Amino acid sequence: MAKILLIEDDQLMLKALEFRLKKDGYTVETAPDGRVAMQLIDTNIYDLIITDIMIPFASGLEIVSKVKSRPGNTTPVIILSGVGLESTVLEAFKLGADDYMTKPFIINELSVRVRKLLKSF
Amino acid sequence: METLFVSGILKADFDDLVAVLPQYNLVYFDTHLALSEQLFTQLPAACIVHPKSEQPEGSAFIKYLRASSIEGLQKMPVAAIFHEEDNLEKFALQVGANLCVCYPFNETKLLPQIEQLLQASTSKQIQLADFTYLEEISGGDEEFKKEMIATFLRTTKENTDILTNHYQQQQWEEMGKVAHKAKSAYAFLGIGSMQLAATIIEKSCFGEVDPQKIGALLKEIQHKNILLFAEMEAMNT
Repeated sequence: MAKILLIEDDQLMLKALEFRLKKDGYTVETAPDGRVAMQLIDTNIYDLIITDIMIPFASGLEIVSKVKSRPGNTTPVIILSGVGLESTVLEAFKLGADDYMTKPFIINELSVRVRKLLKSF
Repeated sequence: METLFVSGILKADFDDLVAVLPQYNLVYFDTHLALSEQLFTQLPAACIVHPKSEQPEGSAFIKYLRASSIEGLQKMPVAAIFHEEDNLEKFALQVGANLCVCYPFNETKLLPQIEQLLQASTSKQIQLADFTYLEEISGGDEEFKKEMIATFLRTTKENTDILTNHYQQQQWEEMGKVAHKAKSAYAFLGIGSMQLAATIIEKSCFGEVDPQKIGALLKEIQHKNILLFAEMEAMNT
């Protein structure tokens, strides 16, 4: 069973995504901000990380950078961004992000993307 | 000459409308958002909007008007405009439009419709909350739905308090950021009229700030929240 870390400060989005991913059969851990996320990343191994770009204490870009700069890294990262943050999304791709979705999005679509990424890694 | 605001249609269709209604001053807006913003500086005699186009769609704009605390907005005559074959009449009237006009435009038919529109007086009660998306993501899980609604109500109340506080302190940038956050929550639950209300506040807090306008917008969102919360709490019991 794949283990996913979900980083999102919007409580509604966090609850909805957690609900759906658990329903899809994944083990899900959540972090409401960058600080908690960094601690979890330091002490756990995840099969996939989904992170919002605008989160308190550390940005989604810092999360991508940390995950992708680790030696032997194979963890894919999906970025969630708001409209108008296209340049930040580009920056995230430069740092190694694997996919992104712009909010508001259809949760079914995220579910498909998660499945696809977990299969290809 | 009476002024009519028009949004949500192609500029070419607007030009056709102008050609058949030379006796009115028609003003074109690219988006429902731009039209909504203008309403705080100028009240037209009526609005003509496409009920489905854009995001949030025209239906959200109509609901936004109908839930207004400002009488001139709440009772604003609104015509829904669309292609006849789109068959949106029932939908448009349900969300609060007074009547529907269809393309292709016919002067003989359109003129009496506009005259009728300008006589229209509305105090229609419409429903702001829309649980379609929540139903979809919950997959019928009632507990999850209740939890989501409770979370929405809690965070929206918090956001509104913070907005009010920033307004009192005249902290415009911070207020804009909170409006952005509030907008996401409304958008997430598909409550387009409230998403529109929060977007107007967000936009007004950046650039050239008009505190009086922001005050009116804040009052509007506070008023609409009261209506929305009452609806949602009733549904969630």
